[in-house]
Amino acid sequence: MAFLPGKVYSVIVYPFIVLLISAVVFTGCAPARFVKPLDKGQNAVTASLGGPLIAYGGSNIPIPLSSLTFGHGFRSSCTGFIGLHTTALAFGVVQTEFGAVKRVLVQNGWRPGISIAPTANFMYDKWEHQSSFFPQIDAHAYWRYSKRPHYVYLGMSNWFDNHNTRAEGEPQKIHWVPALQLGHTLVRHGWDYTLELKYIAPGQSNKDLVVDYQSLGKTGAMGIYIGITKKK
Amino acid sequence: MYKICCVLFIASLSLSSCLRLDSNLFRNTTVTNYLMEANHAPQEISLDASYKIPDSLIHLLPLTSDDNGDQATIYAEYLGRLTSIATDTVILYFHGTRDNMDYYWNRTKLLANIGGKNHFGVMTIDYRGYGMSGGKPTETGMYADAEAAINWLKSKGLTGNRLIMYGFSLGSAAATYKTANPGALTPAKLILESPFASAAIMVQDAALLALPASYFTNLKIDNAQEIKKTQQPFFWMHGINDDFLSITTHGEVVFKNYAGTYSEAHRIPLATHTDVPIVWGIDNYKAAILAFIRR
Repeated sequence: MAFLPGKVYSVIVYPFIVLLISAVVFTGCAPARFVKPLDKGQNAVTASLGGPLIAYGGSNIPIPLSSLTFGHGFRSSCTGFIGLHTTALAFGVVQTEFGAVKRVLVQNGWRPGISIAPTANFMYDKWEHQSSFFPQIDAHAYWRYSKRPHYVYLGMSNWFDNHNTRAEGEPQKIHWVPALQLGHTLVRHGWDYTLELKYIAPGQSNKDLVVDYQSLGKTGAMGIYIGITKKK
Repeated sequence: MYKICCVLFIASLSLSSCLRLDSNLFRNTTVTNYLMEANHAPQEISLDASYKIPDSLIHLLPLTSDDNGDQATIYAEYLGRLTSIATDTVILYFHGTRDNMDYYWNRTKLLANIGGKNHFGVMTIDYRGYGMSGGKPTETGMYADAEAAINWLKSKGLTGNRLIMYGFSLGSAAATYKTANPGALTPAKLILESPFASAAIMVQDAALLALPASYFTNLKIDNAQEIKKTQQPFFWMHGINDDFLSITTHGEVVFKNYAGTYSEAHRIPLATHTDVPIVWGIDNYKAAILAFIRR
C-alpha cells in the first residue's frame, strides 16, 4: 500500500494556501514605516512590496503584498503617518493604519538613534461589514554609518490581539504577535530605497497549518520587503 | 487630517475590488472520460487486486443538479447492484478537493469492500466543475450536487435509514451539511475523515490573529456549526499528525460540537491528512466503519 504524504497534498491545494497566506498579510504585510522621523514640515510617500516567504514552484518567494503610506513631519522628532494596504483593498478589505514615529534618542557616533512608533490598524470589509482593530507598537534602533545619509536599522514590531474568542467560539490564545526586522535604507536624490528582512511570529509553530511557511525552523515565517519613499 | 481620513476611507471602499479566494479552494481537474480501474496515476491509497470491483457493478451516472436555478449535469459513480438499492445500505462518499473521482477511485473501491465485496452500495459524485461534471465549483453548488445524488438514490428506492454519509476533507462539508439539513432523505449516520472546522478557522490558523474570514473568502464550509444540528450517530477519524487541517483546531472542534446521541472518535497516531486508512491499517479502518454502520 502507498500514499501521498500530507505535504504533497498541501502543495497540490496550493493556490488556496498561497492566498490564505495573505491572512498573515495583516501582521507581516509591510516593512517598518518611518524608522527615522522626517524633518519638520517634510512630506513623504512610500510604496512597499513584499511579504512572508512561501514555497512555490520549487522556490521560496515572498508574497507580493503592497501598501502605500503618507507621512508628515509634525516636528523634527515626530512624524505622523497613514497607510493603506492595496493588496487587501483588492480583496474588498480596507486596511488602514494610523501612527506616529517618535525619536527618543538621537544617534551619537556608534550609539544608535532610537525611535518608537505606536500604530492603530483598522480593517473593514465590504462583504460582511466586519471590522477589526489591532494596536501595534514598533521600536527601532538605526545607525547612519557613513557621511552619506544611508542607514541600517534593527527593530521589533508588536501586534496585539485583545479578542478573547476566535472563530467557532474557541479561545483566542495568541494575544501578541511580534516580528523582528533588519533593514537598510539607501538615500539618493530625494528618494529612499529600503530592503528589509523580517522574522514574523518567531515563537509560533508553523506546523500543521494550511500554510507552508518558509522560516528558519519550525516557527514563524520569514519575510522580504522593499520600499521606495519620495520625500518633499 | 480627519477629512483626509474620511475621504481616504470612502475612496478605498469605492475603489476596492472583488478578489475572493472561494474558487481557489476547489482544486478540480476536468476529464472527458473516467479511467477508474485503468487509472495508474498516483492515488492516496493503493490497493491490491483483491479489491477490484467487477465491471458489471460499476455504473457511471449523469445527474441533474439544481443550485437555485443554476443547473449543471454532474457525474456520479455507483459501485454495486442498481437493482438492489431498494434493500441495500448505501455509503454516499464525498471526496476531497483534488482532481476528480478518478483520484479517489481506490478510496471508493475500499468502501465497496467493507463487510465483503460489494456488501454495501457505494456512490460518489464529482461536484460541478470536477471531472466530467459541468459548471463551476461553488460551496452551494456542492450541496446541490449532493442533493442530486440523494434524489437519485431515493428514486431507486433507498430510504434514509439505509443512507450513510461519508465526507473526506472538503467532502466533509457536503456530508455534514446534507446530514444536518436533510433534503429528499434524512441520512441515518455520518462519517467524517479529516474534516474542516470552517473557513474561518482556516483563516485564523494562518493569520494567528482573530481576523474575520470575510476578509478573504465568502466560503463558510462551517462543519463546526452544522454538526450542532446533527442528531444522527457520528463517526470521526483524524490523523493526529494532520499537517493540513490540524486535528486540534479543526477535527476536535467538530467532534466537540456534536450534540447528538452517539459519537465515536478515532484519533490516529502518526497519520497525516491523507493517510488515515493506511496508517490506521486498512483492516482496522474497514472493521471500525463496518461496526459503526451495523451498530
